Amino acid sequence: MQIRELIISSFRSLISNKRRSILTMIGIIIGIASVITILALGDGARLAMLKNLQADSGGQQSTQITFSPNNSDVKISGFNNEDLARIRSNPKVAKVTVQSDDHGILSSEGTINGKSLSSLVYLATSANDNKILAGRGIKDSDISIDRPVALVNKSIAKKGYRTIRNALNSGIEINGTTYTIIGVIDNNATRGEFYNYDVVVPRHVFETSNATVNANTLKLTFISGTDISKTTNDIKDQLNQMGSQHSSGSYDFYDTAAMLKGVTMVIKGITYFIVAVASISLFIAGIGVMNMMYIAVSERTQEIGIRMAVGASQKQILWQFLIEAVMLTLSGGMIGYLAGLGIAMGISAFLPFKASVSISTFLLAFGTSTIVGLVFGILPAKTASNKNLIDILR
Amino acid sequence: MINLVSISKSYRQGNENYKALHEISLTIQAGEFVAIMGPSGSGKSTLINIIGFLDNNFDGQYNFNDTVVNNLNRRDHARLRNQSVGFVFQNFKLIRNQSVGENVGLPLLYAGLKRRDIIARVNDVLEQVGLPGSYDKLPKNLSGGQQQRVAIARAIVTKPNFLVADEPTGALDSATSREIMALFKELNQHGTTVIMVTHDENVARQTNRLIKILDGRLQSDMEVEHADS
Ligand SMILES: Nc1ncnc2c1ncn2[C@@H]1O[C@H](COP(=O)(O)OP(=O)(O)O)[C@@H](O)[C@H]1O
Ligand SMILES: [Mg+2]
Repeated sequence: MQIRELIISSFRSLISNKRRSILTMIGIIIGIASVITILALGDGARLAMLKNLQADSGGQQSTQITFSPNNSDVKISGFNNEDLARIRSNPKVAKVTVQSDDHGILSSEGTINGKSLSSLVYLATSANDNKILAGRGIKDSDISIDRPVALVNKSIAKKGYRTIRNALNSGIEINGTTYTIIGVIDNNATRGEFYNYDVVVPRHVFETSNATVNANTLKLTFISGTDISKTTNDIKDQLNQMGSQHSSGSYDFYDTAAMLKGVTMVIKGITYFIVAVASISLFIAGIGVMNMMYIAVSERTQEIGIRMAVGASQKQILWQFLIEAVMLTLSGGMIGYLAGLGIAMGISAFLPFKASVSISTFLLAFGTSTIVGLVFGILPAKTASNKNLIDILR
Repeated sequence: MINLVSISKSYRQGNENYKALHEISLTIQAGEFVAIMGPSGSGKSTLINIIGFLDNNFDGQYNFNDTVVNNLNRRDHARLRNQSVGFVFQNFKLIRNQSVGENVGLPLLYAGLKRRDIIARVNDVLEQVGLPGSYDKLPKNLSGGQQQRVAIARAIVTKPNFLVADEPTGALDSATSREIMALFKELNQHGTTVIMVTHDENVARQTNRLIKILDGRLQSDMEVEHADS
């Protein structure tokens, strides 16, 4: 007999006992749904964490400490040279960059020839041709008539246009404004001792584009293998004790990594618990399936006899009942899978990350419910196929 | 076609073995119409179950054409049952929650035929037994005689070498019995071998050969004399 026929006839006998089939499936549904819920949430949390902890292109990880003044009207810089020197002396810190409006340097997003970049922009208020390599510097006249011109460093020029010469008189977009590159500067152009910058543009032109910028932010990059949360926290505590502005504001470190790590740990704990409960649920559900199949086999003894009498082999009878059991658990499993996803989506509406739908959880639900059906269906199916024809027909 | 050599069969009844058949030897040719008679408990069903490939657990030798039936394993025995014999029972033995057509098509399903071919063949056979257009009916909505016709249709659907019937008219009134016997007769006249167990002298008289059994032993085996021939 063809598999298709087996499936059709199994399906029909399940349908003809609708209530019993559904009751038997409930255990499977609950078991699978709870496992899928927790796995979808756990996966979501893990993915969110990975994204947040993602190392930069050099394999280094970075964090940010921000300074917020108590009185938000005053413009003060939270980090002076002394602070920076102290932080830099920490052996785990590879690089310290200040992104501070007070020094006229801002971290800003932009694009050059279609490639996005995030650069430190020096907002010039006067003529500037510091460390110029090619082209010309920004002149007073550029500033006074708000000409959109820019100096970019060598690596940005090469990133956008391959050669310095091509870059000259080409465009760069920063925070929504397009500037003409009139000059190329050295990669290690700095203001003062620590304030690196990559791009110079006239301040007034920049400000009219209404830029949103990070002020008073310290970007720390660590050597690989550092516990970045702990080190950053230490530096933050140190700043709050003896930083240059510790009395007029506070230094904060928003540790997204730690938060997500915490959530993941909690979810991991819950996962073990749920998986344990679900296994018990699935086991009991499996016993239920077995029980139902035994009842079905004894109720349908006559049918089994008739099928054998017209030539069904033992194997065909075995498969009929086995497929019936598997279809029962598999339908339960699929309903449970959908229910689990629904619940996970519902819960993640209240969490800072999204539940993740993955093919592996689907396969898990599919596989587990099939296995439950096979394991708990095999004995009743064997009983059916081993029945003695003569005894049945008497 | 059928050749039994010294067949014996014992049943376990509690702690004892009860011998239901004693060294029965018998030959039946293709095309015969055979009746087996005997009192209740004499071993008729036991014998016909062996002949009809339902029971392969006996002593002695059973040759079916070139096949030694008692040497077959369970799978081959089931295949032989599927393809070479059609069995008709006293109480019809139809699957209750399946339609008439599905009941009749069941042997073909196990023979591995495609659904489309099965449906065509089933409709043909239903017409042959006098039940055209009843594919989708449920057995419980049919009379006893009609149900037995369905059972006969199922028995002949695979075009088996022979039909075996264990008291096929036992549950039917005399008028219906006559109809069913007429159907068997017609099948036999078209070349089907029929072996039938019966209690009823009137039924037995319509066959061509009468075998009598008593206490598991062959008592007599004779040609039936027909008034009209
Ligand atoms: N499956 C069985 N187990 C035990 N004894 C059986 C079984 N089938 C039949 N018998 C016994 O074998 C004898 C013959 O039975 P059976 O062939 O059914 O007789 P008949 O069909 O002629 O009435 C009876 O005594 C019956 O009790
Ligand atoms: Mg009997």
